[in-house]
Amino acid sequence: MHFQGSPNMAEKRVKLISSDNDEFEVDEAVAFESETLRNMIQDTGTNVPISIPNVSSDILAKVLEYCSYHAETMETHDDKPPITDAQIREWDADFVDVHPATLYSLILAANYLNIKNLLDLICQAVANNIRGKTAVEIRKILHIQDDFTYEEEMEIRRETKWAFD
Amino acid sequence: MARLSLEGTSKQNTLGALHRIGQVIRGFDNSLAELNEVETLLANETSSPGIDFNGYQEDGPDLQLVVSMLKQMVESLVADIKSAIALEVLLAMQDITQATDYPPRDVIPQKEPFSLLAAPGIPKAARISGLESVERDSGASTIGSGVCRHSCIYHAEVMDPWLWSRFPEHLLGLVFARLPLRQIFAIQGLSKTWQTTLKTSSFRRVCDEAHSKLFGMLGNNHYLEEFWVAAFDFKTHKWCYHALNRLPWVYRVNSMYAHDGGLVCFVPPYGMDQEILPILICNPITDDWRALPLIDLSMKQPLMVQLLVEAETSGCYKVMVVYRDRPRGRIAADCYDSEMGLWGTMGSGIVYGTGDTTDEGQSNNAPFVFDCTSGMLYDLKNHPSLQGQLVEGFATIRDRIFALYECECADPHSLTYEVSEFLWQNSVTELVKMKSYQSILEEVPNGYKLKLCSSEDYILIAAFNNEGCCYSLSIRIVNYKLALE
Repeated sequence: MHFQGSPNMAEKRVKLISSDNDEFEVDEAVAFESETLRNMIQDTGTNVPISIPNVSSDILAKVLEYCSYHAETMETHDDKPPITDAQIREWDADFVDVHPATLYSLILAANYLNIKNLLDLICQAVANNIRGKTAVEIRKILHIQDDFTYEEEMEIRRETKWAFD
Repeated sequence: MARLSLEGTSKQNTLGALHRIGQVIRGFDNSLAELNEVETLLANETSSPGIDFNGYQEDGPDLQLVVSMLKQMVESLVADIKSAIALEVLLAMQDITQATDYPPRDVIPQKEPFSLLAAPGIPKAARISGLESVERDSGASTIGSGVCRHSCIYHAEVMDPWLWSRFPEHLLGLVFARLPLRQIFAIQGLSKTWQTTLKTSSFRRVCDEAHSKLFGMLGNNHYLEEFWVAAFDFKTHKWCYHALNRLPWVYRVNSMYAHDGGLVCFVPPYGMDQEILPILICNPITDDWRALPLIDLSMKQPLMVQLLVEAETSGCYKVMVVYRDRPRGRIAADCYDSEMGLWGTMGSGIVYGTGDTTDEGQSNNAPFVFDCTSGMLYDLKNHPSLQGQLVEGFATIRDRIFALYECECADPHSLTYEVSEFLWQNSVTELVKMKSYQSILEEVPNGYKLKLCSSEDYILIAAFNNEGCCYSLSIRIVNYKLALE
């Protein structure tokens, strides 16, 4: 997405409306971080506000914060040094340092808006949350029914025992 | 039921939902009491000398086991409920709404349930429900502000099951794929659905993407009972062992194997019997197995195999087998291309690999280079460039050959090792040293040997002992392209 060089493109703004009817206005480049929005904009143009019925305004704000930062990292300025990968990683780590309930909403939003990098980032954050939990604990969190018979359970234990030592 | 109505919580039915949640929780308490009763009953029965007939005795202990297990589960569930802050607040709300007839919509905050803690009157409600922890927490301003997000004493279970149990399954797959390797294997044991999901190609793809594929070592354990693969997990910096139980017995002894990019390939042992066996490809993370189209190896004695996974074309791999043509004694190579799905004879190119030209079976892990044009096989262990060095281990990454050897060291308590990178120059049959990395390993336990492993762009040094399954943690990882540790 290196079209920031052209001033006309940078001036294009997109209006987004969250599920609770808050309006957001962002640069087209920011909205383009999302595959879903990109397709919508290419279909309908930037004149019509795009409503995002299943993302609330606080989550949308957070998503757009991510998108604008990452759109910015793509830009090249002559006067500023480019943002390093390490800086981006640090920023990302800060970004996902939130309560799991927020991650839950973010993951759904990232999935709906189809922002692959954000989805990857949050999935890893959620994985970090359940890292180290036992199968019993994970079942409890996710309400997964343990439908194995005793024999099947033993068979799995035998198969995976190397993973547990 | 309670969950369903909670999902659709509109202001009108909040009270109903709260009430039902309360009922569910009281139900757990009742179940616990009942299980306690049954347990005592069973204990009395088995200890009483009157009941003694055979069939019953077999059932007796099992029933007890079941009951005590159930009791444990319910007990821990009840304990969890008691320690879950969100639930406490809910229950406290129920008490308030029942005691003071507040309309629920005034009590329930829209977004931040924890802000309730600051509301006057809540400590009283908390006392009503007998939960001291609420009072303790009211001082902890971190709650709900998003600062505290791990399983601490205040958040016994930060990931609220009421929320996460509704998490879409395909997204959960994306999350699971990013867990440490050993936990991915454990996910199989969650339920039958997950056991199946773990083997689907879409999960496999995500898993492959999310993990740096490093299958350091393969081998039999001491008694040839298990054939395992040891992978180094970058995320946890731990080894993860996995037994390949589906590897047929014939392949477990004297077969030749190679690994690259998270795949392992097995060449059946030569001359075992008349039956023609296929070459197997396995993805140990997902336990996915493929048999390559048969090639008749009965007249061809495999000498060396190289597996090459091409990172750019995802999932495509090449298997190159160098063999000795038995009737004529000529050495040649066949190549299988997974994209075409065909075997072909290699007329040109070079095959790199570690292999075994002895008949001992156990690979001595020496590197070989085979020039398909001239049909010459070079044993690099005895190559002049390496002579005079006591080489401890070899590894190959694509066209690079790495050798590990000990260096002179002043400090007697640590060992200095050097890893050198070589490039094979076919035109002059010369091994050219490209770079070398020095590495100091401390505390290599007695009796441990060093081994060099490679995968993708990484090489690492691992210490292991002859028991096979005990690997030490002395690890150096080098990205040879970037020369980073």
